[in-house]
Amino acid sequence: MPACDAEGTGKPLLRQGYAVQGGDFLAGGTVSTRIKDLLKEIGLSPALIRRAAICCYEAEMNVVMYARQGTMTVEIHPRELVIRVEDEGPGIPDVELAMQEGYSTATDFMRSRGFGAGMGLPNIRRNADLLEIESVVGRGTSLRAVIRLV
Amino acid sequence: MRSPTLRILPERCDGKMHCLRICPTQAIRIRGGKAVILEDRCVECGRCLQVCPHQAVVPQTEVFADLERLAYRVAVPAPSLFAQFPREYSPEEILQALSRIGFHEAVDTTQACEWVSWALREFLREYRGPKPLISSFCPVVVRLIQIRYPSLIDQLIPLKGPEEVAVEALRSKQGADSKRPRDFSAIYLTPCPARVPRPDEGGGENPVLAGAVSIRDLYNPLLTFLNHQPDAYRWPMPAMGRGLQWARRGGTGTALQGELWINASGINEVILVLEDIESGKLRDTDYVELWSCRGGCISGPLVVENFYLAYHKLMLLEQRKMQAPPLNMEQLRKWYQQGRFTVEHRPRAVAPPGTETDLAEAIARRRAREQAQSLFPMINCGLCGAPDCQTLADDVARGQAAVEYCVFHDRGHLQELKDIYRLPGRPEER
Repeated sequence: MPACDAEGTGKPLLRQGYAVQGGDFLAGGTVSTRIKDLLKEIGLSPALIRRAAICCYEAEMNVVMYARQGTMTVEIHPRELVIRVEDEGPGIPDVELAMQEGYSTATDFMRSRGFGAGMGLPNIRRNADLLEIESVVGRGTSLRAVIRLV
Repeated sequence: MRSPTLRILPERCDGKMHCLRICPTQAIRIRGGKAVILEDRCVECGRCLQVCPHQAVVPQTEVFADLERLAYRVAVPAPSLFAQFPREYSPEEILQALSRIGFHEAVDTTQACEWVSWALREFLREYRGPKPLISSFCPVVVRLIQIRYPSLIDQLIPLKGPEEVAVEALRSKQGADSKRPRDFSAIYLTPCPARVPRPDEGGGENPVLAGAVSIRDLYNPLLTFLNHQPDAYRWPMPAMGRGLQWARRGGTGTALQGELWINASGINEVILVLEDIESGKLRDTDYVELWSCRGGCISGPLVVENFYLAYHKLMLLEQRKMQAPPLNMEQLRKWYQQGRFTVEHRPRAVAPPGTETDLAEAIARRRAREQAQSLFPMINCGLCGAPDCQTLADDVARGQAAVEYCVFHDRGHLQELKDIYRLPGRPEER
């Protein structure tokens, strides 16, 4: 993964935040759809929207599946798009392990809904230019994904 | 600039908003009491044509009588044609009637449908890209993806439609002894205003289809012959196969074995499914068949028969002991390897005008849209000429409308509307 420096630090051109409810499989995915519509409205290229949509959806579903609640914020900077997700939940004990393809702690119920194949975080890493995860067991997880626009 | 497939005749339009309210892509505005179509937003689904009580929306199909200018006319019937007539008329008789009303020959499109079903299976088997693959056989779905879901363009299946394949097969079969000239004119008999050949969209000097006539326009002449002249067949019996199923939803996937595939029909359903695909929800699905019309082509805007009855008749035809010869697998495989099923040009994204490429400008436009929207009552009355307040706000942000179009902000506009719609004042005002 190429290094990405000074990404998304200054004042964004646009910032939009959304609440994500843990355990709500019915509404799961609606926030990413709204972010996707926003990115379409401001005319990002289809390829970038596709990558951003995958990152948002995976991150949102992680909150839905594991956390009590969370927030998802999208920031548009002149040169990059930043997706932040912060949740209150169990946290991830071993982030490096969770990043491995196929590693999953999903329950049978989650799998029955078509999730939990252990591809969530790897999918985000593949589609973002930068992915940072900080997690405190018993408190929650914060995720920051950056996609370069130029 | 692409030629429009639907036009509104102003002399027939009374501006009463049937089309404005039903258009799934907000492509209609009322200006000066008349509906106009915004070509760059229109996906040509024909819902406006179906809903207009005055037939003010007209398709760009050929007038049947005008076909006489063409020397040798080959009918290319959409499979949905065969479900339009009373049950006692078989597909063979309907093809026979085509010969009586001015066609020299007809190709069996249903056989080509079977070939394409087979090609679809081959394509799915070899495909390794992002899923799901999306059917490209409904021109409205393709255009919808070009305009509103450009990120899904690469998932459109790059196969030709059966009508094209059928005509090309006929051309390649051309023998020296045939009375059919090389430059015969293939005429598509269409249930669909979007499925008409367009000289500005490839094909150049020799488009595959020379023209299209609507099934609606053919109905009366065909029925007249069916009722009066059931005489000997002039043509060899056609081989109606399983391809007839292409007339309805679910018909394209009949050759699939074990793939996870779904079908959805009706343009609003299609939009929901495309939203889901774009959000990544259907990525375990191999194939998604989509049709703009509620039951597939059999419920197209240019058909005649009641949809439910036509569906029933199609089912009866499908159950009939079919005479279709088995597929010539060797030939199909050869054609497939030669690329004869594959489209030459993939569709490209179409950006609506007024879409900035500059990010800061685009964000400013979004702010302007939100600001305009906060001024409007969000009751979607349509008096401004846009279908809803959000669309007016978007038009304002793009510089294509003014806040004063809203009657809440300009009573003068309300007075203009009273004049246009010739609304008499209440008794005390007169």
